[in-house]
Amino acid sequence: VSVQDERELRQRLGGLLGDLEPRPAPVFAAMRQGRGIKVRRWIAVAAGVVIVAGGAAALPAVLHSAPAVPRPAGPLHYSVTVRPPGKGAPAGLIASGKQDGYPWAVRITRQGSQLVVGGLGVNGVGGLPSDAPSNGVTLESAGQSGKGGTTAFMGVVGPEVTKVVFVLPGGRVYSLTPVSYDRHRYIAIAVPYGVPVVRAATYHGSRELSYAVPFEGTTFVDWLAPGQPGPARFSQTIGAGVIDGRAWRFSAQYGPWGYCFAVPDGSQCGVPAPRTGIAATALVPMSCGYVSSTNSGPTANLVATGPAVRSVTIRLSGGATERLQTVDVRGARLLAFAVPTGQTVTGSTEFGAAGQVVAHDSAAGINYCR
Amino acid sequence: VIGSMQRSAVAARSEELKEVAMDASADEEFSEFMHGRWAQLVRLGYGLTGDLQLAEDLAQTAFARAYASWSRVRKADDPDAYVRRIVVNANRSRFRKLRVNELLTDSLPELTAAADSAGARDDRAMLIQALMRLSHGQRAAVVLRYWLDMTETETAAVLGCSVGNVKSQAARGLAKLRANAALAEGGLL
Repeated sequence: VSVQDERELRQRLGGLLGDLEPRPAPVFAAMRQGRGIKVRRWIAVAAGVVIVAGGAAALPAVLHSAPAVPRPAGPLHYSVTVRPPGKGAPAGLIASGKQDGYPWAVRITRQGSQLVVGGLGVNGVGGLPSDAPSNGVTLESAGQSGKGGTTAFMGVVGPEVTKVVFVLPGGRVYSLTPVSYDRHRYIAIAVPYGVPVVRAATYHGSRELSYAVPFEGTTFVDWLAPGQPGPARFSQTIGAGVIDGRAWRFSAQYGPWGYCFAVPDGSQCGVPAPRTGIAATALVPMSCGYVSSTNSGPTANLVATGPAVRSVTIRLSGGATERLQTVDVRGARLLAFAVPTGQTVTGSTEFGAAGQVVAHDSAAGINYCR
Repeated sequence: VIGSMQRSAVAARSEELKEVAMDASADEEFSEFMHGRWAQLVRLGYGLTGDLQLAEDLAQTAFARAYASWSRVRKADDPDAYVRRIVVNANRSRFRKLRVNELLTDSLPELTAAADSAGARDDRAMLIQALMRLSHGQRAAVVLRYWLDMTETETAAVLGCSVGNVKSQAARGLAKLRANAALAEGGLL
């Protein structure tokens, strides 16, 4: 194979196969699967030790009968309990329980004019969810990895909802009754970190009102009518690249969860759809985040534009400029770009379909993250 | 005695906190590792199987195994080669299992591909079908060498064979692809 042949073949293969768009990395699922492998290994080792130790003491019996094989561990190794607040429970307690033996509790407290979510083992459930649609629930989730780590879900339910059902792996079903506090009704559940929620549904009595399949088992996006199928799984890249040696990508993710935008590291899909009614030539920042999970270094930005904007030139404080095409996502025009460590956006120029300048913006006007 | 017990309790708590912090940092490290390599590993799986969903399953399995042995994998000379090797081997095992059940026919089923233009989809399907006609070793050598741009030494490390074997497998695979009439007619190779 000549060098020329090799180069040509690489180019052709790259051209034909290089634009494959896999779904975002299912990190939670891989960790969960990995934990299952670990547990099975421990059980195999423990069984070996038991057989060896027992073998010395009971050799004659073993010679005449096969050793007892331990029952194989199932693929699911987790436990979750949920307790509603009982009599005498502190005000604002929504639910409590244990996940993999670690206690958890979600409680709302009033601090001045603000309602604040707190509790045990559920750090990170920051703000209260906003109001819910009458037949649905608005859910917030927060995860904490490590030993005893949880993913906690807390939601405010609409007036028609009398219960919310969570389905976890293995078909385990948890029925949550809303708890009233300060003119709203709430539900909460915490699961071991990495255990995904398969599905959740709202009910009025025994009648299902709506259901949702969360993105990566953690992020609830859309609630659908019973029997209504969600979109087919599809990923559409808005912008991607490598910045300061780190890969980043903003993409629209379609699937049973609905439609949302994945953050640069692909771990969540929490960015809501762009608002409607953007002025024809305007730029509206939607999301900005660090490319790495260390909360430092380069950032990536997702921006919605008005319908007349077809491309944008971004100017950076380091002197570089970048020309970006806007991407049509369900009628909304979007673009994404990355900013190297230590630099900021100093301005932009917007271009129309014929390549004509339609607007200029300063960084202050666009308000990119720094 | 009570003071000593309290000290032990504090020490135990401190060890527990350290362990929690280490677990969290290992998870973060693994998460970053997986995010950085996910797309490439799926591409490797796709080149080997011709099926995007299966490729994602293989890649996820590889990362799950890497996570299960993360303390060892993170210290390995080349963690990337470790996960690639798992994908190649997992596909080989799958292939062995399939071989007894599969009914081989002259025409391969139409393969699904990611959403893109019809022309590109046809070309890709044609190329994937041609790749699927290569032996497992030839296909792995071609995909690793010519698609993922790996050197002969790196490819040999992933496949667990000699550099000479990689050379011959890749050359034979390439020759078969070039002899594929559909690819030649389409001007793809």
